[in-house]
Amino acid sequence: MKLHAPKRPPHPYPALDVSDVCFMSGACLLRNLAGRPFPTKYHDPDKEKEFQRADGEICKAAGEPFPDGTRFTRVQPPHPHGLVGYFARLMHLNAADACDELAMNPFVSSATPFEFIFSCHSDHLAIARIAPGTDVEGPAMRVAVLEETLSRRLNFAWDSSLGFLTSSPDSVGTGFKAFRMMHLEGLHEIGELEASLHGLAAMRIKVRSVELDGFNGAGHIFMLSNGRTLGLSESELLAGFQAATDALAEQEINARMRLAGELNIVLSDTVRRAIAIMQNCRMISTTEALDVLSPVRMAASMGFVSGASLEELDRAMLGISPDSGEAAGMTPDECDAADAARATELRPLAMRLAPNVRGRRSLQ
Amino acid sequence: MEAGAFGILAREMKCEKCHKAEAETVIHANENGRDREYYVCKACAAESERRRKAAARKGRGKPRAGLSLTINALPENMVPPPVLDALMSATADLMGSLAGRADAAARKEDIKCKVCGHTWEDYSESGLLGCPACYHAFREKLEDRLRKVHVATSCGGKVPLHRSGEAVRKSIEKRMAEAVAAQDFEEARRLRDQLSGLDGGDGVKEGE
Repeated sequence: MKLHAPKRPPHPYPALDVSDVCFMSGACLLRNLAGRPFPTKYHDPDKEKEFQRADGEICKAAGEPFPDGTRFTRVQPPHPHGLVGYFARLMHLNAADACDELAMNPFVSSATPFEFIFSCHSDHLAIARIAPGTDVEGPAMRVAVLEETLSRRLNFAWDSSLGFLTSSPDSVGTGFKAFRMMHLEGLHEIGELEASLHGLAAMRIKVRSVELDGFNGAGHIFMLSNGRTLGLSESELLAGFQAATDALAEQEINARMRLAGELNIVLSDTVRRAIAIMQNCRMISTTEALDVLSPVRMAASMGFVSGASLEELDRAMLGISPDSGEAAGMTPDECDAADAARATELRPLAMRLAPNVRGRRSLQ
Repeated sequence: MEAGAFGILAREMKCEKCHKAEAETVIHANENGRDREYYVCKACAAESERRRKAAARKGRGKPRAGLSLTINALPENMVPPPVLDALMSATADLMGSLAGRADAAARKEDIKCKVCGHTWEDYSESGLLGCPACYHAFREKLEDRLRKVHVATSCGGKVPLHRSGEAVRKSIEKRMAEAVAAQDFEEARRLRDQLSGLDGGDGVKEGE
């Protein structure tokens, strides 16, 4: 008897791209100079000279031209705002924070806006590259090339058993971090987000979310990075991270397909409520703004909402800095004013948004 | 009466049930979820045991092995329960102060990195080490953490350029030891020559 796989009808909705799920990707290598205290000790007054020596050494090495012609220059970093800046801060990859923390200017940047070599507040060197989209392999290869050039100019702290020594034992070994910033609204809507993220945590993928270091952050945007840096090679760590996050992106796409089909009413309800809140709000907090923009952005990426492009929605979403007003040193009145300004900014965009009611990509 | 340990006065002990005969036995009982001890005379202990067995036969409770402990002769100046409480409390105070002193001593002896002065307590607070030498100073304590986070405790990643010679040497030494263990002396000799060639060559730069 011959078995035939049942013929499945073509899906009525367009195939979603992983880039709809992944805002940005990147890689980073953490290194320290051999025989010098880590920057964690620079707060001691007697270590200031030590810091200046290390900083001078790093800037000299990074300031020389690289074989491919790339030049890094010492600049005052702008304070990155929005979600990217927020996650960079959580991952200690925010050069501006390092400057504030160390009261110095230990930052070198290439002409490429996505490439940095800087002292972070815990390690002498963070060599990082970020890229929009899903490509994590490109940035990983690029930081490896930069690191190899620097390793000819600098003597990095290394141990034959533990590998590269970092101030935190959580990144010792390779000092390699790959990361992806993902939007997982679909999994949240169908109630499978927590299980999926628990699965990732079991695979030693670190999950960071807005506000909470857990699975229910505002906007359901998560920064995922490899939690393990020891015992495997850089390429193995990268492959494991890529495979795990690709699988998660696929789960998210499947969830979105379900929302588009059998769970259309759930999507419809969530999106219509979110648009109504945005259209009528007079004050909106950062977390609420992320929560309402999130389903709208997802629906727009699937073609169920018209009136604003995905780029516009991405800009609105990524422009929100989830740091609380209190943390930024704002008074309650200033917080209220910021909430009101945010609502004023969102309303015109929301007024243009309209759920599709006709055609294949329509909401019930 | 005479002064006992910790200034608590000891006195003779009577049965806690009949208050007549001298207590010779201690019975452990559970009343409303709380464990209690009764110091009783032989007669009261026998009566208590008879009731317990009767209750067990009716299924109201199971006889517990070692429920009662017979002490044939209580030591002279046995302290009765109320005084026992005070004694226990005094002992706890004493133990507490001893433990406090031990804690302080432990803090003084907190492991410290000889290079940067970073202590294990500093690491516990911040999660960050002070310098590369801290890894050696806290090696034993860090191993648990490494195993928990990374599963492994040794690196499998790339080797810095100036250390690659050292890595090659270690690999050859390891293979040579394996060859000797397997009594493959020809291979061991070949590896030894390879190693001596490495030593005579460009040499390995020893870093930190």
